[in-house]
Amino acid sequence: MDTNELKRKLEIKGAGSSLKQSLAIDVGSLAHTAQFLRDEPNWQMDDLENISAFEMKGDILLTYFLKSSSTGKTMVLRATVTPKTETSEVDAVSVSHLWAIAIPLEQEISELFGVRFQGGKTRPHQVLPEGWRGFPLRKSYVFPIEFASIKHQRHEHE
Amino acid sequence: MSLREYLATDFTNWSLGPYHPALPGPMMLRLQLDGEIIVSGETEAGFLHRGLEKALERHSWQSSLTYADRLDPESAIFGELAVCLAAEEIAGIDVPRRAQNIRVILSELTRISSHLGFLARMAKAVGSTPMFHYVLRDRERVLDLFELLTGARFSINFLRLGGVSADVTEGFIERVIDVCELIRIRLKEYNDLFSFNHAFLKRSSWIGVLSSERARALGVTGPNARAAGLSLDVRKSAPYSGYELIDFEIPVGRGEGGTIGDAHDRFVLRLREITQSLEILKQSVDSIPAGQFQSVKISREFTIAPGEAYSRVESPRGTLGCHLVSDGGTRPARVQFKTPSTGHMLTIPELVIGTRVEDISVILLSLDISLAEFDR
Amino acid sequence: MITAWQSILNLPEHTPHAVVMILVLIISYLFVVLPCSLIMAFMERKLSADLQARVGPNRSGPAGFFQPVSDALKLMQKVDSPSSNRAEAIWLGIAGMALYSTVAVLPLGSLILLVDTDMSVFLPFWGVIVLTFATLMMGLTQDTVSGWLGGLRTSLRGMAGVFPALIAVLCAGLPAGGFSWSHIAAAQSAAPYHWTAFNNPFGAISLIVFLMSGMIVLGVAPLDGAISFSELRGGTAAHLSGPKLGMFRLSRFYGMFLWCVMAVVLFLGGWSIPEGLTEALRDSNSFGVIVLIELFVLLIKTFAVMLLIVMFSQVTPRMRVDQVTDLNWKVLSPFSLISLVGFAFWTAWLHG
Repeated sequence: MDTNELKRKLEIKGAGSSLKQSLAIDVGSLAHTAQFLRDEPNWQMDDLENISAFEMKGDILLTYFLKSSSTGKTMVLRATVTPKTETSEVDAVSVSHLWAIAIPLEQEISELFGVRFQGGKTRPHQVLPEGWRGFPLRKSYVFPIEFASIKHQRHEHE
Repeated sequence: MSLREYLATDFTNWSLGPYHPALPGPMMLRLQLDGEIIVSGETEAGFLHRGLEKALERHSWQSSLTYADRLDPESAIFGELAVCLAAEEIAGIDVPRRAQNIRVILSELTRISSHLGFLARMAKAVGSTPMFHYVLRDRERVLDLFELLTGARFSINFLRLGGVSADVTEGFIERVIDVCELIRIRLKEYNDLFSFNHAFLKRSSWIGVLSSERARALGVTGPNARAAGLSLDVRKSAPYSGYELIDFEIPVGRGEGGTIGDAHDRFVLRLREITQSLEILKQSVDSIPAGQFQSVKISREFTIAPGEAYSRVESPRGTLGCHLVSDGGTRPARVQFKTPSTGHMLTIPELVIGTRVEDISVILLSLDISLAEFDR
Repeated sequence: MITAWQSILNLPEHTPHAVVMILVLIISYLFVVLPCSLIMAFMERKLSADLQARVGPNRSGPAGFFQPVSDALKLMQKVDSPSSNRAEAIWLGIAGMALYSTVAVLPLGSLILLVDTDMSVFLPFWGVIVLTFATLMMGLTQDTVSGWLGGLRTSLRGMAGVFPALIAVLCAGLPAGGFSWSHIAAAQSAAPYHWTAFNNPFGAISLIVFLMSGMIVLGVAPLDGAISFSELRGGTAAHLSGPKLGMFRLSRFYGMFLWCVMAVVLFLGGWSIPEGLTEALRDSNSFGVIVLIELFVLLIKTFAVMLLIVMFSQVTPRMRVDQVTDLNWKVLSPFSLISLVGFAFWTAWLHG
């Protein structure tokens, strides 16, 4: 969305410390929105506290917790991405060029949920071992019976 | 060809880890060395990833606290506290004043225990074995308190949704006061023996300087940020569990040994934080309100209405955040921890550049990183 | 002197000198050096435990006295890791030879000095320099960064430390008029105010310089950058195990023993016992008793010096290797030179 539409949405929704007041945006404009919120003198949201992701009925919701170090106000941005199938990856936009703390947070989400952050600095196999298939934190994930020739069941019939 | 070019050598690659005495836990540290000087460094972790967040989704609300307790073994209660505060916010559960007070007492005792562990690790990093042993002996007295109340020394598993699991007795309070007195005396002994010892100052002052700009840019919180000069403390900015009624100060780095934000400053700051924790404990035990210690009894089929919350607590390492999502079932839909060690790990590649091989240990251990909470 | 040994050991008159010397070397190694190194190892462990508010070894023997013996036995029965490094074995051998050749000049008493020339005092330095060089080469032949850095640091430390130490030795030799052990011992007597360390205002300085540079050369904590357990995991010795590790540890303690004995003889009166006692014993031809009493006095003082060193090493955090060499060049060397000049003036003033 462009800057004027964003401003209008912010005026309606406001920002607050409770998560009930969050701003939902689409994933493509995430970086742009975050930068706007950081630079705009009314908001000055210059701290990224956390990036959290969770899956709700097939949609992966990315939640960005922003905070202003000068006024102490907090703000929550939400973006939804939907993977086409249960095991396919999905694309999102990275904010690591704005905040360095985003790098490890996006790394985890990319490995555990299968979200590719465009423009980000994620490396493979930081959290999960090499050769791990699937995205563990998705609800549809099925634990493998065997990995690296180690079975996690003792008997066949368990 | 100039002499310098003629004598130029190649860089050596040296990777430490995953287990190495200089590292704070299982992690890889890949360095490029120019003789003894480090040219670049890179970290890799993930060796302690145990799927804690996924496990939390597979068990009931009652068990979630036991899992959260294992987030960071040294400061177990803060994981529990983060989950408790978030869950209680979603469910609208009120925590009785007495339970809040007990939570504060245990939190500050854990902070003291964790910081004593930090002092011991710093002493070991510079090779002062007596200090190492003295500090751990005194830490045992604090751990004895935990064992008395909860049955365990580290993973106390004591908080419950709506309060704590058992009441404290007069005897426990007396022993807390005794231990506080002991720690107060010992802090002075540590200062006499070690804190401003000339050899220790030479090993740790002007080493690993983290400026406040870089601390803010990399998302560093907690004692490391305070030592760098930023005055950030969740207990003051967003108080929880009764901290708004307690009078205490937030120590900020003064750079007495060398400069603000160096390893020695981080060391001295944590000593000051122990003093502040003793002050908080004194106020808390002086005025424990009478009342219940738990407001609701949770069973395995306990459900919380759909909603989400984000709680922040001040753990000994920094700001621990917990994003909790409930979909109305008997199990959490998502528990995500934002741990302070994430920011600290980002500083390592910057801080080791230009230092010597022998300083690695001091720098890494002065950041007080917990690999268990970084990897989850 | 050979006759003294012959009468102590009750050897026949016509035994060749070489045989006597070899016997003396073996005996002094087995009965003095080895037990003293073990006693020093025990002292260090028990003392450091006391200073750290721990108990220390208390299982093997009364108050854990036989702990070094059980350590040695344990290490002997371990299987050594196969080392395919021929060069390392050679350098280890050279290091061992250099160190143990100093047994020949160990000043253990006035009657049992095997080699009593003006160069006696300097042989241990030669041995130590070769040891340092051999450790450097050993470190460079290893494939690990620990080995390289450990070897380089050892050489820096070793080469640096001998300079103030040699100056301090010169200080001790000046009032004696010579550098053989008997000269130096003769210049001092049993009374403390005749010891080199307390004889004149500069003696204490040179004693302290000698001890500290010894700690630097030998790599005693807190000045042990090269062994640095916290990052190098033992430096050149990182991969040693089994009997080799036992020999390595033993050689470190022997080095400390050697240095303490030298410090005692040079600065603290050595084995001197009161004149009257020596006369009486000499008249009654009981050489054995003289030897034993002198040895006893020497060893008591040596262990006292060792105690000081252990206390200092426990209380001080470890210093970085470049700080150690800075200490050496910027602090110890100037002080040693000052004390040398002071000694020279003092001696000239006293004798002229």
